[in-house]
Amino acid sequence: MFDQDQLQFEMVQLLDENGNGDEKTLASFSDEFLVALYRWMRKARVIDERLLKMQRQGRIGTYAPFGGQEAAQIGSVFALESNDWIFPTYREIAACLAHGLPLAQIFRYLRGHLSGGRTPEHLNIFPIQIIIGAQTLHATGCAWATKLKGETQVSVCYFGDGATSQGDFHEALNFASVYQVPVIFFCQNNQYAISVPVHKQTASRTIAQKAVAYGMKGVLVDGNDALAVYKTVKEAADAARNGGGPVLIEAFTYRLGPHTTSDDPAKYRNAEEAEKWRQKKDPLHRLRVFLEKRGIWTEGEEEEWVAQVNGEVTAAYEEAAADGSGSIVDALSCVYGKPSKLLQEQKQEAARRKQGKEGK
Amino acid sequence: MRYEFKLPDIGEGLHEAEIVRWFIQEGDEVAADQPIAEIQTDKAMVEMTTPVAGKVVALAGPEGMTVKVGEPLIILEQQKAAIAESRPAQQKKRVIAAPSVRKRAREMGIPIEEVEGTGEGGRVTLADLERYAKARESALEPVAPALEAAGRKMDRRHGITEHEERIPIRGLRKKIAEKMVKSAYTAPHVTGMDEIDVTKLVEIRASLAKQLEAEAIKLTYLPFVIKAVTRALKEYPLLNAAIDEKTNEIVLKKQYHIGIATATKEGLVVPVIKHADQKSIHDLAVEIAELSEKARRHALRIDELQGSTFTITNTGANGGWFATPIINYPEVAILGIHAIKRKPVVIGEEIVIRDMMGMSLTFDHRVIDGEPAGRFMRAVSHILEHPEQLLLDVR
Repeated sequence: MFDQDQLQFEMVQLLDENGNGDEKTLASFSDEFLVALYRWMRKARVIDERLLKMQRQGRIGTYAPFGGQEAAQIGSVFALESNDWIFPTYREIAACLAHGLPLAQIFRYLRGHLSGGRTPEHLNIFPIQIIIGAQTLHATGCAWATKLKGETQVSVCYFGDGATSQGDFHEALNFASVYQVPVIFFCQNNQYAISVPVHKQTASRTIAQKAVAYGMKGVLVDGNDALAVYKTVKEAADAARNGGGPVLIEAFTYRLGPHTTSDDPAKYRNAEEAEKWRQKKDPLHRLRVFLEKRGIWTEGEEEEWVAQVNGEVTAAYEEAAADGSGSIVDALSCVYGKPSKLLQEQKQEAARRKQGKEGK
Repeated sequence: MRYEFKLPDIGEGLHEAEIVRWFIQEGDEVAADQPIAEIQTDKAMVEMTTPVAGKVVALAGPEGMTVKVGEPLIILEQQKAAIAESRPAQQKKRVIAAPSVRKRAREMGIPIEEVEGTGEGGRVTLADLERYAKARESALEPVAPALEAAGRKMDRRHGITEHEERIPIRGLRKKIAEKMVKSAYTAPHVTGMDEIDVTKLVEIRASLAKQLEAEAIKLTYLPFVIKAVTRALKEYPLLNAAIDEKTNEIVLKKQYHIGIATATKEGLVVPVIKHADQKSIHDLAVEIAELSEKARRHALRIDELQGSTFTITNTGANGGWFATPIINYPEVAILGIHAIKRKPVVIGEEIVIRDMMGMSLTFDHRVIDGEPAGRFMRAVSHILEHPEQLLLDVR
């Protein structure tokens, strides 16, 4: 008889919820590295909270908060080389920023400005993907290209638990494994695909175990433990870079906020459950406690850093706001190099409507 | 300078939202990003924060009012320094307009730099001024009364005159009204009443209450009544039911979730004790205290207010001897328990003084006839008259 327990995956964890762990392992991380990692996570949290507020103020459009997933996103990016490729979804704002995308660019994107979709030339960040799971194929394709060209970059594909039910997910993992391309499938299992809990998403006990079917390595990691995420992704990236083929990583985490600013999680999940994750499993808390115990972080530094980040957010917003927000007229300008007659008419119509709306 | 914070489309295609609660009031100084209100959209309850700092000049209206997207939610008076800091880009706008148009704008009290020019090269025309004035009028209307802080219009909004006061039926009051009308005009209500001899129960409760005082738990009669009711419901499942109007079926519930009608300052709410049959008197006492405290703080979660299969309303010491409770629709029965009084009672050939409690059971006559309702009441009475029976449930 089939027994799923044979596929049991141990969860990788270096730092427990209270900031404790094996001292020898933890000693291998330098002070400098730890402080930089924490600073980025705290920065991400501040940005997330500000973006949520700014959406409520009508300054940006629909926003998908990532609060609670900082360790998974920042920890994974820290394990990469600066020229590695990343394939984000709308929830990977933190990963994009840590991999170099300017915050003002995020603001342009969230304000619907066309230029917000553009990645600066020197960065290997794919455009933010809205379609669930589509980027798994892009990542596999990109990794195949780097392999064919003899380049050394690794491709990291971000997606959620919901994406694992898409056909694209199967195609991407299958192809990647057959061709042994250097790609890391990094699943942030945040427990809910909008309102669908993970037990209704898949009958598999873990997402990591799905790797078995594709003949690739699968790892289950505590997604709220930044150090465990870092170590896991680093090992996967090193292996992939040296021809070891793809890896599927499941970062077990939790989305503390709503799916997007149009969602009310109280309608489908227990408030106590969210509170438990917030109180006991916050990814920032355990790292901060560990840093304080090591004597390399203080309340004063925390306050100073938060104030500095808040200033950066305001400045980045103002830089982006000066460019205005997006309009349909702009969108129609970018369809063809030379616009067709029909498109011209549509553009005029859009302009007329825009003016009508504003004059009303 | 005045800053109007207009309600943005915070959903995707939102048209309006209801103000649930203000965190601020007129005259308050607010900081940028400070929470100002909680609003209810058709999708979610959302906390709003102000984009800029300033002094609150006006609120859109009272709690419970609906605000349309694009209408001002609050109006702030900004300090000059604060403006320079928060909106550096907007200061330098150079407006093109004929002197006659500028003069007219001043007469109309319109800041010309805020008017969008549609004339040649963005020139502001007289027509633009008219359009701006019209837009301003319609946008400001809901706020106007609040702006005239001490004026007549303010009074009209609150409906106070010399002879009467008009209170809008909104929020919780509106929900209660709708539910009561639905129940009273759908289910044919019949109420049966009886007195229960609770002399023994009074003794037992007094003794247990003293013991629980040490744990700071307040033991009322309600946990005993809940235990009696769940026992009786198991015997008479027809009373632990609901009507499904769509399929025209009686739905017998196999779980015993007891709604507890609870008074709050804003009106009646009914928190629910889930699986009440599986809980001890002690657990029930603790849970009742928690739920009623949460009810008073408006901190009940939706799942704590849903799913009841039978409801109990306790009218307490001042609620009279009997009542005709209204069914918590679509349930099919509700039990009212009332004051306990010492009364003369005939036992055998003697008149003795006993502790008596009034009880009223309202039932939906579409589902339940008088005879089974009577037997259910008898079962509840019997347990409360002989509370030692509850020992049988102890595991």
